[in-house]
Amino acid sequence: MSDRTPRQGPDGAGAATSPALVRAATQSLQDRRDPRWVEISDRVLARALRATRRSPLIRARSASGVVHVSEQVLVAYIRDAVDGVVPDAALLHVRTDLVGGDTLTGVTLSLVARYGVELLPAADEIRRLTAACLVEVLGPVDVPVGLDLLHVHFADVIVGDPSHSGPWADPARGPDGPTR
Amino acid sequence: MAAPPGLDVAAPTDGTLARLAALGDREAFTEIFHRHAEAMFRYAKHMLHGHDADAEDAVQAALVKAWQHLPEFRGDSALRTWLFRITANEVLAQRRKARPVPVDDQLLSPDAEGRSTDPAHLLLDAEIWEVLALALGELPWRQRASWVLRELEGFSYDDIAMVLDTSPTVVRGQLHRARRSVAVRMEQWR
Repeated sequence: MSDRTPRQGPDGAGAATSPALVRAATQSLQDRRDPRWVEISDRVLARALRATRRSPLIRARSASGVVHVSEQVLVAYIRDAVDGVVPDAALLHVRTDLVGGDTLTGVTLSLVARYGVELLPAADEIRRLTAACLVEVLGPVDVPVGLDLLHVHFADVIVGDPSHSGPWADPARGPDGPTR
Repeated sequence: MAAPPGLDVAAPTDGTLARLAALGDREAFTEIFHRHAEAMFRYAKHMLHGHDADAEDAVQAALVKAWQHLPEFRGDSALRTWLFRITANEVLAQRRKARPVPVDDQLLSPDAEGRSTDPAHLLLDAEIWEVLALALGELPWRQRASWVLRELEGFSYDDIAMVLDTSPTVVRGQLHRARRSVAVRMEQWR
């Protein structure tokens, strides 16, 4: 029998092989840090963060006239204004409604709140902060920032810290995706 | 209210990071990157025969997609599983682009012809992980993917099935064959 002939056990599954050898090799492979990754990781991260998300543009008004602001920018400002600022509530999702392609007609904030928190005062505070944010980012928009424009929706109430909540699971949406 | 016992409030969960990154929080995405990107690169490299540049391209594309599509991630699977599924698809795309590699289920057929390295010498000179990496490189695609995800990354059968878009039963079979082949190969080279 040559050296290259597989030495198989009675079940034909290579039982003669020392499992310890494979385990040791696996552990060694797991523990090893790829030097190439150390070299490229900063670059890979920077490139990923430079990628733009597709996002509609919202009509805004600056001192020099009409400008357009990406919905992403607005969402980021609202996140900074609300998430972690209003006690016992965490922002899950922000949806904007547009007519004519770029005119904002509604903003809906979905949140999760801690069980026992007074929802109406929390909603009022969230609405106030969001309204200030809209004026700051969009200027004097065509639709007045008020109750008609801003909607606050508590999607869930949980025992524990809402800031530990995971991603927003809207039953109306499809599965996780796209992964291709 | 105090945090539940055992909950590390200083370390946000992957779910929390996914929620924040979906809302545009770049620091949250950076933390996701630090937790998972190296393993994604390791997977890509094993699946692309150790080619650094191809693995880098695949992981880069996967991370760009992850950042762009996080707002659509709703937590049906673990974040890590979702990231690896994107990576697996990008690796496949990279493989198709780079070079056609025929699938060979005859792992144990003699393959010394044309090899530039003699396993005996290899084992003498190489670290044990290099021998294992070489053995993995000989496995057919799905067997290798299943083995890497299970043995190196600790995925469950269900999660591997999700990453590779197959069933847990198929994963179980692929893993069985992969383990047997790796064990035999390692034994041959010992």
